[in-house]
Amino acid sequence: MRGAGAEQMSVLVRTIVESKVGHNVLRFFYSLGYKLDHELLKEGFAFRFQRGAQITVTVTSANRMPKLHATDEAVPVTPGIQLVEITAPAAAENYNEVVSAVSSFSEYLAPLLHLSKPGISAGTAPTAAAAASSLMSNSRAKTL
Amino acid sequence: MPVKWLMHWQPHQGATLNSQILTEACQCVESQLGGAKDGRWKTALTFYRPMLRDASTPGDLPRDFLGIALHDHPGSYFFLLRAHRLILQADSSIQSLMEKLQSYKARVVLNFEGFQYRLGDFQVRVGKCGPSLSEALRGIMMEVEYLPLSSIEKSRQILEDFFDIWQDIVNRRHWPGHFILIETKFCRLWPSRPLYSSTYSGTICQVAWPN
Repeated sequence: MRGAGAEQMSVLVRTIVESKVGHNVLRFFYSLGYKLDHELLKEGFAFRFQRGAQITVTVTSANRMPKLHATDEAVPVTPGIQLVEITAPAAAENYNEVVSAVSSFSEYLAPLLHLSKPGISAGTAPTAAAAASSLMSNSRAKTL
Repeated sequence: MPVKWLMHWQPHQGATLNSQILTEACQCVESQLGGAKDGRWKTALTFYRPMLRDASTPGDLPRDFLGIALHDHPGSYFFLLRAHRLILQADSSIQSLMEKLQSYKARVVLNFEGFQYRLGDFQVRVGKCGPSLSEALRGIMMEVEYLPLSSIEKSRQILEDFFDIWQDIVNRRHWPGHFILIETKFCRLWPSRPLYSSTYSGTICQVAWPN
């Protein structure tokens, strides 16, 4: 989505096309004339829940591989730093509600981390350490 | 997945292709073979061509890039690269993805469509082939599917017998042409796979309509 309206939104709205493909997809695209540009291994977790929209939160680390497809030899691109992404599917008729839901959830996470549009740095939440510590102590109390 | 054989109509020299043959073939399936009409079917075959942006684009891009939407795999799409003997199965959304990439464009779309009939353990489809944006008739085809078996070798004799019976019916009608069986080349392509699978279905259309 482009234009002044899109720039004012706190989240990025874009078209995504996904397709499951067979195992020979790389060979297929090479045969069509495509060349491999880069390869990235993302490892982490995905959480899905309903909160005004069907929201998915992924917490991942990006890793590069010294040799093609060598997943066992992957090394982190940013050691110790992980990427948190929040996404939700939307249609042309309801994207405003989905934008609100994602924004609202981002604000809910504000004590822990600052989320922003791709390409815009939001910095580290000053309350992150305290919020995380509080969460950990709460979960320990519940376990006991 | 059941084994399928394909036949296409070859008019005699001097005879023209017309839809009357298609109508009579359908009538024969019902009256002579006792087939019960079981709905319609449609398969679309797309010929893709590369979108060459400038002279620096390599000239060895494939010119035999096909896409098939098979009637019995509604959620899937098959890409074929004949020279590379490559078939890629994907979700039907891959067409949208290919459109957005704009590296290859759909040049011609041929639709194969008609009626299907159930005859005991056989399913028969008779249909016409024509461009998607035109009513022009480019061909007539017949597909016979033997439902109980997935083995190409084990079903060969049964399907040969069916084909012989059908040929007798056609010959007695003195139609201006005949149905030609499309020889499948699965064994040459996949010698270690005697069983049928959905990837083979994509090959059928490619083999049946090589151009």
